[in-house]
Amino acid sequence: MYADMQYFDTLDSEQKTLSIRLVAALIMFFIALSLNLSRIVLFLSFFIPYTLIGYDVLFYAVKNILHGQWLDERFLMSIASIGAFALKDYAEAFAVMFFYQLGELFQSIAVGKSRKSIEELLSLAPETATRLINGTEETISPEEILIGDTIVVKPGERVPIDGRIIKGSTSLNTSDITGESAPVEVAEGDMIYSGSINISGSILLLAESEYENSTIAKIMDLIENSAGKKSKSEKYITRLARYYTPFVVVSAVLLSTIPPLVLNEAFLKWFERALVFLVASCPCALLISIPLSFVRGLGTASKHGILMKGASELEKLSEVDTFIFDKTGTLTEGSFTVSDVHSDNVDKDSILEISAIAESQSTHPIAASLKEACLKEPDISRLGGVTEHAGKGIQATVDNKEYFIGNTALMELVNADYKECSFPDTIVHMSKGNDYMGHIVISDQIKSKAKNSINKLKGQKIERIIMLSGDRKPVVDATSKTVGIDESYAELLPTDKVEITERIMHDGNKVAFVGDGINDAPVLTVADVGIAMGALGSDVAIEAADIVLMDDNLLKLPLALSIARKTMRIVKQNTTISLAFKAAVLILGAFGQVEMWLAVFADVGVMILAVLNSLRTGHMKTNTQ
Amino acid sequence: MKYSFKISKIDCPSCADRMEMAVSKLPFVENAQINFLTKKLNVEIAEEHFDETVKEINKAVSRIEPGCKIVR
Repeated sequence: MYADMQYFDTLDSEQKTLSIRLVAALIMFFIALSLNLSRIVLFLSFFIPYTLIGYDVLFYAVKNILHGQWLDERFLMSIASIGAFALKDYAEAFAVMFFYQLGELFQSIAVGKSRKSIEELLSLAPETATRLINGTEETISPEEILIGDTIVVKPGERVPIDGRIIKGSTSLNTSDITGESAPVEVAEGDMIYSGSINISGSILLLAESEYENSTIAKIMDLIENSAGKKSKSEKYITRLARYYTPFVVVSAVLLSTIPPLVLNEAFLKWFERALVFLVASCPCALLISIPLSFVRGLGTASKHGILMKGASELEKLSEVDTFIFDKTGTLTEGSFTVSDVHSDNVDKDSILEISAIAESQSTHPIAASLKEACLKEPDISRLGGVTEHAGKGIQATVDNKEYFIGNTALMELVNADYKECSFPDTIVHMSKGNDYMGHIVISDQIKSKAKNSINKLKGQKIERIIMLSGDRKPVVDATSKTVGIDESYAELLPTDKVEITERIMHDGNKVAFVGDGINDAPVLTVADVGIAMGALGSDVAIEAADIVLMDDNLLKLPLALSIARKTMRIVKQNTTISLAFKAAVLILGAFGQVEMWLAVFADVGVMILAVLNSLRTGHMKTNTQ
Repeated sequence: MKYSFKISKIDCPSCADRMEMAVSKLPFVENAQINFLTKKLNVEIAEEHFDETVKEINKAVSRIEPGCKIVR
């Protein structure tokens, strides 16, 4: 009893009034049924609860008719119930209005809850920020933050902007964004992103973006928009619904006029059946459960840091039968380390030194590893010009001499007599002019969860899993073997990746491409479903991809696939149940097997069933550890 | 120019659909999209006719859902 009262408080005032009206009217109705009254008194005893329950429906029915809205369901329900009164089916008339309003209440509550869940996801947006200016702290709204501002984030506060830590260290709770509960340790020099909660220590941030370009703003935008765009299924259903109501109403009119004339039967009998048709004229159960199912699915995914741009993307993911992975940064950590240097005639340390100087301006992860391996600080004054040869490497002037650093294609370009390396790693060759100097062996780490994730995808009946990489064949082969991928393509240029993806799609496969977003924008756009991983901070990724994973946990992929498939299953179930029921009611109703109250009751019942069914995506096994 | 409005009252998906169609039919309006769950109306309105168009939109939506208004 107490729990019911608590639940009652969660309703808004309109819903509360309606609930009270429903209960009061119901009580009056049962009194009317039990009393053995006659004629006018009998009529009133039903008419009063009927009016209590339906006064707003009747009022708006009249109002809308005056505006020319003939197909308004309030009008149709009113006609049906008044018709029932005319036939002296008082109990039926009440039942029609009662169940209709019950359905409206339920719909209102279901939609309210759905909207609240979206609001909760959007409540991740930080409300205030603290700016440090000339030693004093001022509280501002996140929208006022300028690039270069120093922002203070105290323990317990939400990080308001993307920025680099310039003072302090702490641990962050990123679970609202990535779905991962393990805290992330961050220290001076680290880049952190808006939306996470600061757990332990106070830090100072150098703001690197304005609020509207920050990660959290983009995520909020994505979530908000995702709830609106219609998927293929939804568009189809909406079009169906547009024709359904007029069709049923016209059928009702025909049903009440033609059969009695043709079959020479009582008009009243067919009139009653026509009323049943009117009562079944609203496709509400169908219309309401589908968006709710999608929102539920999208919301569940969001909680795990899987952001899908809309119902359409979710639907497409559920249809995917092929996964294409980019290697570096997606299946591997993307953190290279120099493991060896091979050379016949040149000092290994000087090879590293020159490469570190040459790559000093580059942000490529390979460049980072070269700089790290060189023990001395690279003396940048020795560096002259740097030219990039796309897909091959770089050309740099160091100590006034030309050096070429890159892959075998670059060596062939300058006619350097290079030596192949059998190691299954990334090999960076170096030549002075066309004098070959040697090569550097750089290794990347395969992500620990990679093999498990691939296995799970195979278990989910993904037919083809393919790896694409610009890296050399020995590395790609070794990686695919470790990870369990049968089909791989090595030594690809970025345009090759697009071509291969298109070819596979042309074969008839529904393709999901998984990349880290930074270099993969073209392929992300081309694939049926583009999935960008570790998208925190990458604008390009968020723009180009259809689905954005907030962290780089590969196990999120089979999870996303499960959520998408389960949601679509529920959508299909709801569609089938709703359509089947409607068809049954109409057919049986035409043959007089169904009474008015049963038709409305069934309608409301199916709606409740469909809505409850749509909640099932929230309860799924989700192990991503 | 693109505008985004909040819809004050919209509880029924078929009403949302009818509203979207009614708004689309108005002059100086393009690409009307109603997001039923977030209660938003995204629409392109010719700037010179903004005020009168907003009035027409309000009339159209309140015809379908009584008491309904759009708000900037």
